[in-house]
Amino acid sequence: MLIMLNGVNFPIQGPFQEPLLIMEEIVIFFALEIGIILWIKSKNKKEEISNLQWKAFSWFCLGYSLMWLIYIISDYYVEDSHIRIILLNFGYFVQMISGLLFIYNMEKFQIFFKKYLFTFIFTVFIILFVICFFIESVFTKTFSFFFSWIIYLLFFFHYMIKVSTSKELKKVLKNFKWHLFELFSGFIFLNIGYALTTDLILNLFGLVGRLIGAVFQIIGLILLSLYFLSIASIIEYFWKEKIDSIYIIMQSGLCLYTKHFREKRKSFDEIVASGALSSVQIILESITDKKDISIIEKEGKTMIFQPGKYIIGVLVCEEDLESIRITLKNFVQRIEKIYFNILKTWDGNLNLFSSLDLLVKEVFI
Amino acid sequence: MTVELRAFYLPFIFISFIIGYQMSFYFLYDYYRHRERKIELNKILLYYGIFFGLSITGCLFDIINDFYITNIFIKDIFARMVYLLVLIASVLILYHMSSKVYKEIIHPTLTKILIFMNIFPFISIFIFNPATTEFHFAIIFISIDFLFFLVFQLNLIRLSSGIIKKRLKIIFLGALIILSAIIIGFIPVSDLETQIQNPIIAIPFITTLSLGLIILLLGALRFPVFLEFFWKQNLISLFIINRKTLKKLYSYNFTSYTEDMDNSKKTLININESIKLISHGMIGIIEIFTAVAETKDKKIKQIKQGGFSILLEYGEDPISNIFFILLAKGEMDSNKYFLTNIKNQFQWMYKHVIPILEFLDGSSTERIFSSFDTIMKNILKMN
Repeated sequence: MLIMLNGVNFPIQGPFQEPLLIMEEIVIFFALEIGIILWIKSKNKKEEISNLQWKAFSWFCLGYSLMWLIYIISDYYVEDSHIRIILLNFGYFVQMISGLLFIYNMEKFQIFFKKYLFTFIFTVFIILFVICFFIESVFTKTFSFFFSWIIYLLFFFHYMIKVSTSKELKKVLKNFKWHLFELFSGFIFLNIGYALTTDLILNLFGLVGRLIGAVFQIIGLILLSLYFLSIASIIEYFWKEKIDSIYIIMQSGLCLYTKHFREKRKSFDEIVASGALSSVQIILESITDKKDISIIEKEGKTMIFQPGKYIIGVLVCEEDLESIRITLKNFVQRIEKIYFNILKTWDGNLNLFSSLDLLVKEVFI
Repeated sequence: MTVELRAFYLPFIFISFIIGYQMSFYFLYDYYRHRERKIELNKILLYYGIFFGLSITGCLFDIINDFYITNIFIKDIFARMVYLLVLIASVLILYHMSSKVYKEIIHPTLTKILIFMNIFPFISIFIFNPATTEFHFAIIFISIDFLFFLVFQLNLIRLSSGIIKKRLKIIFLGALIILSAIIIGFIPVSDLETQIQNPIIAIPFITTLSLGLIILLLGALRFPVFLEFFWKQNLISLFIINRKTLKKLYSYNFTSYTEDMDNSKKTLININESIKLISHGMIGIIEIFTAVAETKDKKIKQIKQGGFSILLEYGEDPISNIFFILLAKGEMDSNKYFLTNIKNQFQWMYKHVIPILEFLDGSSTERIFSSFDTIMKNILKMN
């Protein structure tokens, strides 16, 4: 049975079928390729903070390619209207899940209004979408188009405003305007392109609109991937302001280095503090029987303990962000790499570590 | 069926072309990135890029010709263009293979003879009509060129090491898969139009072709700088010296990498053991040269002595008082690249430690810098 949609027949046939299939399969290919590249990059460079951003966009791209694969099957190969609706709903569901993973990973390294706010809203909408599917599957299309894309839009707008208004970034980043252009135009191309391929817009512009939409999506995906690949250093500036102080202590409890990024506390003995911090780590390790990162959270303050082979890095900060954890881990590893032979048989000479101040400045300030 | 085989086949073909162009672009980009190093072997990236780019364009012309062009005159031009592009690609890669740097791999004269023989297919594609069998005479030469290229690639793998070897193996595997795709797709049927009417041929052909190109692309990604063959065997030793105190910060003896060490090299290593001679001597040479040649703003980069060369690199701020000396046998561009790489890694690792060196005693300094051994071994593994 052929499904008719104001002049557009489903499954799509005729002279537009071949060019449309070529362009839409290229969309799948690009999204899949970008997704895989970013995924491999994020896996290979776990020590880099930017891996969170790569992972986030890789989820988006992988979901986008799977969604389009489902759309192609439903629009070109399925003759039964009921099966087409079920398949399309599955496509919307995939799109929403990948969107959720994208937002969750983005919120891991920075806070948008409130911690994991968008992740929470998106999860609620996915649950509502599933309920809606079982009650009346005809409405899910409108539901997914309006609600999930509205959250996407809100999230992206907020992210773009944050990036474009950052004075730090403007100062530090080369080609800042070009990166902004990649982000803005990529976002616009992708959204307009996607909108042109929806049934709603198909009624107005027909298959020509869908063909243009596919081209727009390819451009949008390429621009956004360029942005996400080149912008690796941007996220470093979103968390630096959240750090209070850092302690580098030996496993024995001796303090090697301390730095307070804000005002220094007066009546506080750092030697005692480092001893206490080391004991905390030892207690946690004995309880859990595992030498791993430990996080202690208190309202408004978080302490992150990163044990190495010889030393423990302790960061006092405002939020427990994945980006801060990665930076601390990197920092501890870097110190151990440089001072490996010194730390093995350290005789208590603190002068050896006076260069740490410069290293801290490079990494944390 | 709602979708014909043609509409299934063509998107895959175009995606394969995109992969091919990406690979070609990536090789060219990699060459562009490293071109300042002036390493002769690195030109292979440029020629790979051109070879794959032209070959893919030739295939694209073939697809356009077979599926979209109906005008006989234009069809004729396109048919000639297909062979012309593939032949130019083959001749260019053969031209690169005839370079003296590959004399260990393939005899340059043999390659030159093959280049000369390619004149015949060039003539044939212009004089014969594309509708005749004689016109396709060029295929024989293209096949010979391709096989020659595969043999070259195999020998290249044999002589290379490290990451390069791995990448070349992947590229070779990709090329073999593409070759099998061509056999699957074109041995049973001679043209694309007949091919797409037969799903048993078309589907395996297109999937094998895409797979081969993806593997080739994986091989092209992050292709490292192609250093000269046996460059490691020529390394003797490395010294990192503090110019201010004339003290050695780090040294490395490469003799463990050298199996066929001759006596002259052994003698030099013995001399090298006297670090004082190296540090004081080098500083002295630099001072004398600067004074005599009145080149205060310019730095000595290389000193040649007999069959040996002494390469020098200078640290950048904040470690501008550190200099790097590499002793090697013979003269190779790869050694310069290697020394710059060491300088960059050392700077990254110790730029914060150098300013406090004056507060450290000799044994602490030695212990700190001895950690650089791990980095050194990693750099050596790269190529």
